[in-house]
Amino acid sequence: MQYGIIDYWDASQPRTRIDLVTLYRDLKRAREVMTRTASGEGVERVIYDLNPALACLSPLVEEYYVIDIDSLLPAMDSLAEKSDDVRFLIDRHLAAFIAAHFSGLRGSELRDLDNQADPYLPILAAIRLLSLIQERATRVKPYINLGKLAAKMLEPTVKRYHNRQTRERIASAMKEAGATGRLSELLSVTDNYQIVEDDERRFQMAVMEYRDITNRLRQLVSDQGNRGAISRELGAQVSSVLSGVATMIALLAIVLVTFLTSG
Amino acid sequence: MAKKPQKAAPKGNQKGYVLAWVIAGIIILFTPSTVFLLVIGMAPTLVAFFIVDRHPLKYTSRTVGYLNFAGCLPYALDLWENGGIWDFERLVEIVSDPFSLLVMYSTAAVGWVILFLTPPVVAAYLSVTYEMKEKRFKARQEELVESWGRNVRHGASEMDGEEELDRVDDVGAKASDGNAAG
Repeated sequence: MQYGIIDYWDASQPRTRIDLVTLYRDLKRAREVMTRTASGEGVERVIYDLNPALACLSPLVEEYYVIDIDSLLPAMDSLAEKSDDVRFLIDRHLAAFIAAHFSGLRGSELRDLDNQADPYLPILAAIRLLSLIQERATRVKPYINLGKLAAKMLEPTVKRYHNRQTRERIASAMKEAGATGRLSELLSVTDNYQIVEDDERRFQMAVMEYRDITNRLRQLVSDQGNRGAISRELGAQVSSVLSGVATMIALLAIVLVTFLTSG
Repeated sequence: MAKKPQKAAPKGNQKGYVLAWVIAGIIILFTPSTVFLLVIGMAPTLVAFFIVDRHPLKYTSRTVGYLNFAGCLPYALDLWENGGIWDFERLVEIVSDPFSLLVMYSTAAVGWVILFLTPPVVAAYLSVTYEMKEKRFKARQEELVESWGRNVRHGASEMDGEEELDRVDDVGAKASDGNAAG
C-alpha cells in the first residue's frame, strides 16, 4: 500500500472490474490515513478500518478480546480491577479502535490525547473519551474499578489549582466521584473550568496582596531608618496639638473663674 | 551668570499679609496696653518664632505660644477690668511684679517641656507600632504562602521584576526621545 503496488496492479489490469472499485477506493483512503501520525490515525486505524471484525490489539485489553465498542468499558473495568500499575488508559491501538468503531466522537478528544503543552490534558482527554462512550451506551452502567483508577490517575491534575484548600476539596470530591463509577461525574469535578478560573483569579489577587505587603515591609524598614526624623516631626505635631488642647482647657477655666468672681 | 528667576508670592498670601498688618494696626491703636503686655509676656514665644523655630509650619512656636498665651490671659483680663485701653500704670504694675512674669514665662516653659518630652514618647510608640505592623504583615505573608504555596512569593517577585523592567524601558524610551529631539 505504502509504495503504490495496489495502484500499479489496478492500472495493469486489462479491463476495469466493477466489483473491486469499492475496495480500491478504501485502500486509497487507507493509504492517506496511514501517513497521519495523530492518535486515532495511522497504520493502526487502517487495520481496524479494513478489518471491522478484528478484536482490539492494544496490550491493555488484548486478553479480553474486545470486538466492539460496548465490550470496551467492561474490559477496561476488569483491567482496572486486576492491575494497579496502569500508566495510561488509551494507547494508539485503543485510540484507533475507538475512532474506527465509535461514531460519537467530536474530534477534540483524540486531538487532546497528543497534547504536549499541558501535561494534564492527555489523561483528561482519555477519560473524557471513555466517559463519552459510557454515556452514549444503550444502557449506562457504572464501572466502579475504572472510576477509581481514573480518579487515581487524575490525582496529579489537582496541582493545577493553586489553593491548598481547593486542592484538598477537589481531591476528596474526585475520590467520591470515582467511587460512583460514572466517569462524567468525575470529569465534572476535575475538569470544571469555572473553578480553575476562579482559583487562578484568586491566586493573582493573593500574589498582588503578597507584593503589596512586601512593599509595605520595605517602607517600614525605610521608616525605621528615619525613625529619629519621623519621631521629631510627629512629636512636634503631637506636642502642638497637646499644647492647643491644654490651652483650650486653661482658657475655659480662666474665663469661667473670671466671670464667676466678677459676678 | 544668569540670575535665577525669583518666585512671585501667591496672591492669596499677599492678601493675607496685608490683612494681618491692617488688623494688627487696629489692635495696636485700640488696645495698646494689652499689646505691650503680650509683647513682654510672650517674649519666649517671639524668641521661639523668630530665632529657634525653622520649621515652615512653626510647631515649636505654636506649642510654646498657645500655653504662653494662656499664661498671659489672666493679666490681660485684669488689665481690661482694672485699667483702660490707655492705662499704662496698671500695665507697669503687672510687668514689674516678678510673680506675674513668673506665671507668664512658666507657662511658656511648660510648652517647652511638652516639646522636649513628646518626641521620645512618640519614638517609643512608633517603635512598638512598627514591630506590631511588621509581625502582622509577616504573619499575613506566611498565611498566603500556606494557602497558595510558594508560587505566590515567586509571582510577587516576578511582578516586581516586570515593573522594574517597565521602568527601565520607560527611562530608555525617554532618553531616546530626548536624543531624537536633540
